[in-house]
Amino acid sequence: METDELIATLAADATPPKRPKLVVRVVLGALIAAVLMFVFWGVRSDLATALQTGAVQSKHIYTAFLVLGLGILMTKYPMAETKRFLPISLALGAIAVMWLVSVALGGDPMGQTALSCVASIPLLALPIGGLLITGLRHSVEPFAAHRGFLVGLFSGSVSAAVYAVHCFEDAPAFFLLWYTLGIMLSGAIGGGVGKRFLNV
Amino acid sequence: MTSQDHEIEDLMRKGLTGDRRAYAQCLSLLAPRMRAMARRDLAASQWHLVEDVVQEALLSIHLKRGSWEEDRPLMPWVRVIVRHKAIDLLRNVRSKAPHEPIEDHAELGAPVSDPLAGLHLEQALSRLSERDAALVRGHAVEGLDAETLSTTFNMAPGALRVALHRALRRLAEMARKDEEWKPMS
Repeated sequence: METDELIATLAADATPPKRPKLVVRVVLGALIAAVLMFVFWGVRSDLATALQTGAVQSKHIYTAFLVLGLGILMTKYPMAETKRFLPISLALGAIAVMWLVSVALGGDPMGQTALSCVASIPLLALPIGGLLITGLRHSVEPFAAHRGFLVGLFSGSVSAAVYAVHCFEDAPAFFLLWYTLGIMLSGAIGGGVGKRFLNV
Repeated sequence: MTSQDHEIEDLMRKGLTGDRRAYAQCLSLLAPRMRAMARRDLAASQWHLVEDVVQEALLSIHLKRGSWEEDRPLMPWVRVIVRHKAIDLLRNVRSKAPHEPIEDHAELGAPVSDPLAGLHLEQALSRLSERDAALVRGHAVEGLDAETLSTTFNMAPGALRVALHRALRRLAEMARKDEEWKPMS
């Protein structure tokens, strides 16, 4: 096929361009995750009183901080023009610090719901991550696995913020360890999905 | 940034709002620029792949043009796509088709090759369904307007539009999959 012919064909394609619309997708995905949490997991019964305590507040601050940080990373890193390893090293660095802090804080890191926590965070991250990956299929992603990993981390942190409303484990050692693990697991899944579904 | 860069960007912006003439002109202006980029990415011995790189990059630009942020310069965005396609194509050529010296095939004679033709996309096209391939080719041939095509394919204009878009997406998919891709055969 000649290039001129290809251009004529492309110009004849009157389907409007697809926009990634990532913000809409994040909001929608977070809403779906919140509804799922509300229906299947349930809000913790003592939420109003628990929110008065410092430990619970710090749990929500931690998840909010991750959402914000990774969100900024996602927007500051829209395309391959930027350096490739900066976001990944920032994300990994932040997470490593959290691990160290959780070890230093001591307390009971095991809790009673460790497994369900690690499983719930990637599960609730699915609607957010799924919508984001679908949107990013309309955009140019040369570092597909890398971008997928970032999407997974971000979706996992939104999901953790939602899950925190259900979870009654308030020991910093617990949530720093298991929330972070759940988010990392989401990131790993995101990396695999991105490698498979994102492209240039 | 040169004045041509600005011109191309303006045309792309118009194209994004549905001005198809501006869009076609934008792609026509982009093609030689992309050819130059592809030459920079490929060693001189691989320059027979330039047109393949350009065509696949054009297809990608078309399918993903909605993700270009209009307040950012267009050329770096195009550059990333071209470079990626060049790397991709080289990787496939290296892994799937070992170099065969032409001297071993004296009987072949000089290949009748069009320097502006892309073989890779042609191969991808041959793996599409007959109707999809005909749709893509039908639009490529000048003079076939939407109405004529509507009657040839016996489809309503709306359905035709959707079918062409899907055919192009499948074409990009096929080119990416790269099953039996051999550059010079």
